[in-house]
Amino acid sequence: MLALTIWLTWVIFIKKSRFPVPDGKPIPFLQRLIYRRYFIDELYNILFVKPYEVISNLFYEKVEKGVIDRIVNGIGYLTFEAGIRIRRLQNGNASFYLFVMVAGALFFLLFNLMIH
Amino acid sequence: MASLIVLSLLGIFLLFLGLGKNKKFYAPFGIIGLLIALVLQITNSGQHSPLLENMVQFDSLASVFSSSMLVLTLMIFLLGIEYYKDMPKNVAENYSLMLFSLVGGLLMTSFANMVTLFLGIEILSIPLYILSGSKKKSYRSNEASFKYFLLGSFASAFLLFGIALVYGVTASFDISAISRFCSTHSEGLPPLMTGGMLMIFLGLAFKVAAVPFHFWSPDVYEGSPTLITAFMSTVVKTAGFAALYRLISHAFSPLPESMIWMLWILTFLTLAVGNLSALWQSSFKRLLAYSSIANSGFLLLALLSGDPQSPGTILFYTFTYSLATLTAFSLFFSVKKSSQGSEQMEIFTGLWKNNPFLAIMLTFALFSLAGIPPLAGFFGKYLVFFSAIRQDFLWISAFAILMAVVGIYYYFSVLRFVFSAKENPITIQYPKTSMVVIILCGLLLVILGIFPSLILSY
Amino acid sequence: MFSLVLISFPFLAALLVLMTRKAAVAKWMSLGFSLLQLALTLIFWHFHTAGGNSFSFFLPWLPEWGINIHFELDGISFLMVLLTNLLIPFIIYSGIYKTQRNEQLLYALILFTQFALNGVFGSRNAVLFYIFWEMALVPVFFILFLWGGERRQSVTLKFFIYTLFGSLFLMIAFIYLYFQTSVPHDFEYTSFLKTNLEPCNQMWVFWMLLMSFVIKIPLFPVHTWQPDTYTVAPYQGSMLLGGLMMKMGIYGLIRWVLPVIPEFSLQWGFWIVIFALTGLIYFSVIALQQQNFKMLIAFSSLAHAGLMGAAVFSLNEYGLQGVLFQCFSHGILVVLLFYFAQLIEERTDTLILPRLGGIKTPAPVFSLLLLITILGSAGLPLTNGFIGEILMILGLFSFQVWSSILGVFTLVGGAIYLLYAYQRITLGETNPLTIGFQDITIREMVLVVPLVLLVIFFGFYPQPLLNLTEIPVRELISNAFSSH
Repeated sequence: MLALTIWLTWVIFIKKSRFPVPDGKPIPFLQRLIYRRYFIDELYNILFVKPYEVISNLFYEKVEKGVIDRIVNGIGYLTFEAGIRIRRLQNGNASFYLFVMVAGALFFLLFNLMIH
Repeated sequence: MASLIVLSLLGIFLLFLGLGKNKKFYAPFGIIGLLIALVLQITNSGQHSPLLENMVQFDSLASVFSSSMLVLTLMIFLLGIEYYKDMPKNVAENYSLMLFSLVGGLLMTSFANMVTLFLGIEILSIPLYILSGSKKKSYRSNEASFKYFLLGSFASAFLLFGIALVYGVTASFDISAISRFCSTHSEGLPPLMTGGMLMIFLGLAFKVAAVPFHFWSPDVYEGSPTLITAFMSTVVKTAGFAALYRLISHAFSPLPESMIWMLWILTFLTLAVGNLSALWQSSFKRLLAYSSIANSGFLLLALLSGDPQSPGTILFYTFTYSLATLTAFSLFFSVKKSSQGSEQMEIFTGLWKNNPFLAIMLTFALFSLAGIPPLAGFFGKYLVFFSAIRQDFLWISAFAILMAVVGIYYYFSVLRFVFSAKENPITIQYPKTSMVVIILCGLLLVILGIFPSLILSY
Repeated sequence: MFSLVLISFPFLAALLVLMTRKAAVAKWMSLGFSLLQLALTLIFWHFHTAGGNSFSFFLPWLPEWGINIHFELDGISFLMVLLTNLLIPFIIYSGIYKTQRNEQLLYALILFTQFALNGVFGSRNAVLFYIFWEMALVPVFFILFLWGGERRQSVTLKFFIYTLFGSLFLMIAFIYLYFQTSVPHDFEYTSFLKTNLEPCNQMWVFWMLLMSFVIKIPLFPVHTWQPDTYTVAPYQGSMLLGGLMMKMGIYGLIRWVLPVIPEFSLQWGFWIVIFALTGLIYFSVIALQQQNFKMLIAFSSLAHAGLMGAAVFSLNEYGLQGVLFQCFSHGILVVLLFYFAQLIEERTDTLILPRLGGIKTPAPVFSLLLLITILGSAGLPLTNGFIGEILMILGLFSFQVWSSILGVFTLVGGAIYLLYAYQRITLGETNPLTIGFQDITIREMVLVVPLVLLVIFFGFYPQPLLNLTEIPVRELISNAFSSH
């Protein structure tokens, strides 16, 4: 079978180099249907290749970069954001420091009484 | 005890030596004195009986913590040779104040009486107030000194008030009497007693820079002369935690519920604030200040768990943390000197190209602080988590893990500069005496990372 | 004793390489050492198959905490060790004709990675395993940090923090398991196997262990560190990451999750399979979109990892055998793919697929070898990729039929994006960039041909590797899951 195909191909296309219609000439519809293999390639392109590419693009641009990567980077961002807020407490003002110290001590005292 | 006397005499001796003008002798004499004290400390560690009418007791706990502080001070003195080289005046005073502060530290690890604890803290603190302002011309140094003094006196007042309250309930300053009171009333202590304990804890929490009593530390660490900052973040921290542990294990055991909750909250806040604030620092000194707060958080976690292995854990952690911090400070100081006194992290740019050895040493120190095996810092962190999980403190352990990850980030952000491809044409003068210190620290970090039982077998 | 020698030899080699003065000497020395290590491994293999000896080595390290130096190389571990020691010489060789900065350090770090990896695969004590696990990260971190491409610092830091985040939870889980072992507690693997956890505790220990291993592999959706890292890394770093480090995670799942927490693996396996397979499809689809060849390899690795992760939790002999075999073949194939990427970049200065094309005409041998590698990665029959995939799909089949159907998607999806990439590289018109593309040289053949031969050899004759893992896998399954 295989040998037959190869032989036939060789005979038709190479030995006699006879193509059905020379390139560049308009082809009748039916012949064209056959020549373009019933447009299966095009159909295949529309049905599978295009959607696959679209989905692929969607996954990469929207899901991967837009959601998953953003969640991870968001966690890092939030940590930094928390850091900058906490850091602002350290304002160099000694009376504020004292205030927080005393407030902390009072909090713990009240907490202590509440547990009792 | 003998080491206490040696150190006090040594301090006075150095003060007299300061009358003469020969600066060369201060550090060597100090080092010899410290070595003698260390030897005495180690050889006498067998005697556990209370001394001075039951005021101090150099039991094995006190002995190991004291030895570790002596070793650290020794290294700081070695670094001091270089640090004080260009300082015209008052070098001897600086050394002797450090020694006096160390005496206070030794008392804090060995107190058997609340009065000794208070004395210890004051003897430790007052020289530090002076030392942090010892750069007399520097505005920031003065500010640091003043802030430290002001806030520190508040903390001392808390402490004293707490001691008074505890005395009011138990009618004794003696920690064994207090401990007896606690164990007989374990079902419920009177509120005055827990209030007193609380105040004492808060006073000490200030010393170890636990949040929300930490505000002094970044400002003071940054403003003080670098050597003093190194002293504060190593020796003083060790003393503070030794005192806290001694208090919990010898005086206030079993710890009442409310105190455990308080420690829990302190741990949580300290871990969060220390680590998260460090993320934004661009000054290396300030970064190390926050790292010191963050490490206090891990140590508090070990304290909180009240595990039988806690003393070993705390000793190992403080010691390895101090070694790494000392390395970082000593390198920082040398690099700072060759970059016109800037304290930003940028000064480390291109260190790897300029001086690979120093870069590797800094990497070791930062890796150890971050807790990466096989360096000693790994076992420090491991032991902390070990004791916390043994006592079923799972949630706070998980939180501590998250914060450890944050910690890794900011330690490693220093490495960005160290290994940056940019050129930074500076030549770093690194003197032999300081080289001895970092090589020693680096070796100890590796050796203790492989054989942690060298310290833990105490 | 033999296992200790085998594991610690690369460490000594690394030290020696580090101390060499001349970079050229250091390079060839490290190659020599790694070949010696490979020879040692092969000798070991001979004894292993001859006597079934697993060369256990036990030395108390910190006995009071139950931490010991305990190595043992059963078939599963040995397969991994074999893969490591087989690939490292090739990874070293791949850069040996290039001049890089600080080569002593670079090659010492590669050998140091080899040491840590051997340790990870050989350890039978949890803390020892953990130490090696984290230590493996350090040299790779530096390889990426110092020799990586653009944006290397932020990408490397992200990678490091991400994976370390996982491993720290590993530590908590191990300490927790330690307290569940019988008194006196210890960290030995065999003691961990005997623990009986309460279901509620089992849950979070399981998730913590899973988290750390899955981040390392990585599986969907904790993979975001991977594509960037693979792309930014220098080629040798990418090979280490894709060829070897990824297998640490798979090994961890097989060694420290399935047998230690079998009930939960059984209960939650279904969901993990779903996640892994989602990832598999997701990555296969995304891979098509990639214009950068290195990025494409990264996503193809992720897709393969998805199938491996799913097959681990199919919890049967076929699945596990397939996973282990696939670890081996994927390691070889990924090193080859990265090497081809390196060659393409060296010759054309680009890795962007649309800019390439028509390499087949000027470089036919190169294209042929690339084709074999690509077909192996796509899992074509008679390549080693096929054996692993078909076994894994069989495993999934006996787990849940639908999952095996999804598993087949790797074969199809893989074929699509890999062949599409091949087409864009080698077929079509040559352009100014590729017209002078030099065919593969003898020096490069030295690396490519042996590995390609291995791809084909194990595709024809997978028995030696399958024999290695057959008994340990069977024991693992029967011990862990027979009662359920």
